[in-house]
Amino acid sequence: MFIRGYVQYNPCYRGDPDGELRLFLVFGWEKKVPHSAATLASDTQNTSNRTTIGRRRAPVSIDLGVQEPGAKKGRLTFTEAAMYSLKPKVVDFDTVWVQLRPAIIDILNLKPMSNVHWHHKFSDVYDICVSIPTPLSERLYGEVKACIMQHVKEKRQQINEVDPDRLIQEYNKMWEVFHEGAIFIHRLFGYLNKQFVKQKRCTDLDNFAQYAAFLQIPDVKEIGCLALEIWKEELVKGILPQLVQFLLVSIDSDRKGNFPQEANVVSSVINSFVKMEETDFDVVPETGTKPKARESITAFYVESIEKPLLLDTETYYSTLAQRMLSELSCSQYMEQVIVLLEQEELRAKKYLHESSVSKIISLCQRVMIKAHKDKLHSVCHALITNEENKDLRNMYRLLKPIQAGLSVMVKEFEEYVKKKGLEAVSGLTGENVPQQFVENVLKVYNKFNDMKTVVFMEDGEFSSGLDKALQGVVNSKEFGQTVPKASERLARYTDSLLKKSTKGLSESDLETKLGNAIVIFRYIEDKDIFQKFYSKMLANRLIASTSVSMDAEEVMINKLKQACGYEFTSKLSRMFTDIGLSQELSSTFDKHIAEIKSSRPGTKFVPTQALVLQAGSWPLNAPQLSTNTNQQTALDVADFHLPYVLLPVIQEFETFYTGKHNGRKLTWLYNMSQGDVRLTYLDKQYVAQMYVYQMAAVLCFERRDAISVKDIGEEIGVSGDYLLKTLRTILDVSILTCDDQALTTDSIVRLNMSMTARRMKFRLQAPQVNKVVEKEQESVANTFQVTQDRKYYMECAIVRIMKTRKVLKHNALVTEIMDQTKGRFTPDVPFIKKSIEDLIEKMYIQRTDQNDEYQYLA
Amino acid sequence: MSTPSNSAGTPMEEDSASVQKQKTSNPTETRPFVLKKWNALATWAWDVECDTCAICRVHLMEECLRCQSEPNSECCVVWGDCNHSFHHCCMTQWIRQNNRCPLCQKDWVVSRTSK
Repeated sequence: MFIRGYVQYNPCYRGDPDGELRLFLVFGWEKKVPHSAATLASDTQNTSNRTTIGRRRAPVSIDLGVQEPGAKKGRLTFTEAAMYSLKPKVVDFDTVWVQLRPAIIDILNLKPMSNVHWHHKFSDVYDICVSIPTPLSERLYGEVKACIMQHVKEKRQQINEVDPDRLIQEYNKMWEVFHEGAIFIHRLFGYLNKQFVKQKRCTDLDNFAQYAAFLQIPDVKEIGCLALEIWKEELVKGILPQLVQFLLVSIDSDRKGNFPQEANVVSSVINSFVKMEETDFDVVPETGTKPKARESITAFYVESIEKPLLLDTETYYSTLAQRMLSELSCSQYMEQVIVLLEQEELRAKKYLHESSVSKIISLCQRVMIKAHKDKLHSVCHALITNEENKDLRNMYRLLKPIQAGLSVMVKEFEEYVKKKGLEAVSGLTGENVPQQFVENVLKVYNKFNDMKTVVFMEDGEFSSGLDKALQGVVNSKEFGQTVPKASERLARYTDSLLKKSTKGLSESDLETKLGNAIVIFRYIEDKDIFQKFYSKMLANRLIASTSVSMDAEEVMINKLKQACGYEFTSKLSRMFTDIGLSQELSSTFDKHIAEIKSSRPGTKFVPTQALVLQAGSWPLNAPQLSTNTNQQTALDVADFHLPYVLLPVIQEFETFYTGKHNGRKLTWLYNMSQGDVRLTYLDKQYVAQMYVYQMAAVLCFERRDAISVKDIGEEIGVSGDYLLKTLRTILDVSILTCDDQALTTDSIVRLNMSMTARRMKFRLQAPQVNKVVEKEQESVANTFQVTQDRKYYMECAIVRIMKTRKVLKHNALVTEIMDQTKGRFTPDVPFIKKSIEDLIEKMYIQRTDQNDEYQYLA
Repeated sequence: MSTPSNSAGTPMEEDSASVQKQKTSNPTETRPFVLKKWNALATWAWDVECDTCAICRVHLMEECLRCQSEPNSECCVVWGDCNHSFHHCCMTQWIRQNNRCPLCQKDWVVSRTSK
């Protein structure tokens, strides 16, 4: 079977017999056939020789061979298609036009038409366009234009005669018919559009387009566009004021609650302003996908209807807002505005082109909210302090879309949270201040965090406001304090949770409470101080094995690690490691002792459990070392003689240990080493748990019943205040007695042979080196230690930064340092400068010859 | 509770160095105190003359300044024949310029490391 059409010929296919040709059949089919199947018509060669760049067309006749399955779906069968010869022929324009013109009018009126008739007309158009000797396309275009013009003028006449009240309905009816008709006309003149218009048209990319616009040459348009443009120019513009007036009135009455009878007419007319600028007819918009609202399409719509509508809207709502403000309370006003905005959005979607919805809404927001922002802000303080959550939520919803609208609210919120928080943590007294502190802060946190979630929709601005406020609360100083107490209190709180004494906390409760502690921890500015306290308390728990469980300890460490990083907890983790290693060490040492005993029967060692800790990782000081922060105590115990019962085992242990670990030396912490001493001379065999210094003093009474304080001191090598304190702790449990009220070096101390105690086993307190003073010193020591650590941390940060940056300006370096250290503490500039100077001295970095610039030295 | 056998105390022999005043006593005499057991606590540190690295001035128990900047790097201590000790990393840098101990100016010979 043969079928004729034209082929879009792509030059690059030449010489490729297997390539494909795109075949455009006149009635709009497109079919790809193999090159070899197409026999190009006689003049094809010439055409291709005449080549210019790009695609060209050549008449073609193709043997499709078998019937294509797709053929059935087509609008024409092949047989029918074959009826219309595509061969150019001589055409008498007038004869053809006389028949074509009524068809155009029929289609524009959507009159019935037969299939054959349509195709005849289609064919006519084709024939005119390819007629010989010259194509008559241009003439056809002119006639069609005149014809449509004529038609539209008639319509105009008709509409002028209708009852003004029915104008919009009549217009809509006409428009709907005409619009449909225009689309079909467009299709009927498909060939003209493709062949003639495309050639003549000024494309947007064409420089000629600008020149043509300058010369005011009327552009050649595709027939559909032409029809719609004529409609717009000849009909719509004539009745535009009436139409617009009518539409505005309809929308206004909709706002006032009188819904127009024919809402769809209003919407359809409004949208016709966009549709009549449509240029793309070939792509029929699928339902559901939104056609792109291009600037050029909506230009007429914007100018003719949107602008007046926006003006109207502005007047309407600003008057309304004024009235509502004078009549309603602020909270009613906000509720009302929310309702109005929702309604207006629905209305805009119902009537207007979609591009207008956001414009209308932002206009309403401007007129009803932004214009009265100050009014809203003025009640904000009261709403927040009264915690009027409903109103606050409304206010949030209203102010959120306004640029910078929330700032006042956020500030009020922040101030209120801070005020409430400070109230909650001030004036705490009693025993469990740490617990009160943590729980009160947490109450405030939970309350306002909920408020942020529920009322302020998790808004980022409010989150940071809340954080700022709580940071202020947590790090606040009470009158007379030089440093915030939060670090210490929080550490004590966690200590109380993790100590064995805690009664009846289930594992999950414990974990929740530890999680709460972390919430507060995140707000602490001087996290390094918290670390100091925490490690001290952790050390005590680990050494005295008073932890609730190792699991719980680990949970907490992991939480801290998550919040502050590996490095923050590395020392704490090392403490755990030491405990584990020590346990192993003790059991191997036990075996070692057992071996010695079996090889040398008769040798006796006190059973020993030893903890060997890595110096520097633990916040501990051997009392006898000069590095001890309490210098006096260090002197007092410097010459201590170890109780001889311990000597063999200690010597054995040291040999054993250094044999295992070359290059290490041990320092014993006697003040923290405890032993169980059985008092064999009494009726009941009491067991007293005491520290080594106390043990040494007690052992002096092995053979004597009364010794002077001075003699004891000489015997055990302890003097001064520490000796008195130590003896005092022994007197307190009445193992020893003394007649003097105030113990002096000359007092005589006796062994209490008639001692009684309530329990068979009891423990002695550690000697308190001037309790009050020590606490003071501890915090001083802490700050001294903290300064050291901060300096060290700072230097590390600088080295790290300079190592990656190599060369850096002073200010940039300071900024980066601030950034890196803020997780720990907030350094001041002189401190940073000092650290930089120190590193220059240590030759880690040097100044470059540029001003204010440093360079890393490898 | 410990069994009587291991709660038996040490014979109260005297350490002449520490208790000079005491006369020799009868070892069978009833002893009023028996030490059943004890929990000893000690810290260990490198057995060094000076516990700060003379090169980076950081305590030898800590990682050196450069290693601190790079978490997880392993940093150890090195002893020379002169018995001076430094961070291994610091010394490695040092001897590129000068193969002498920074403290005593003797030629640097590694005697041992903490690894």
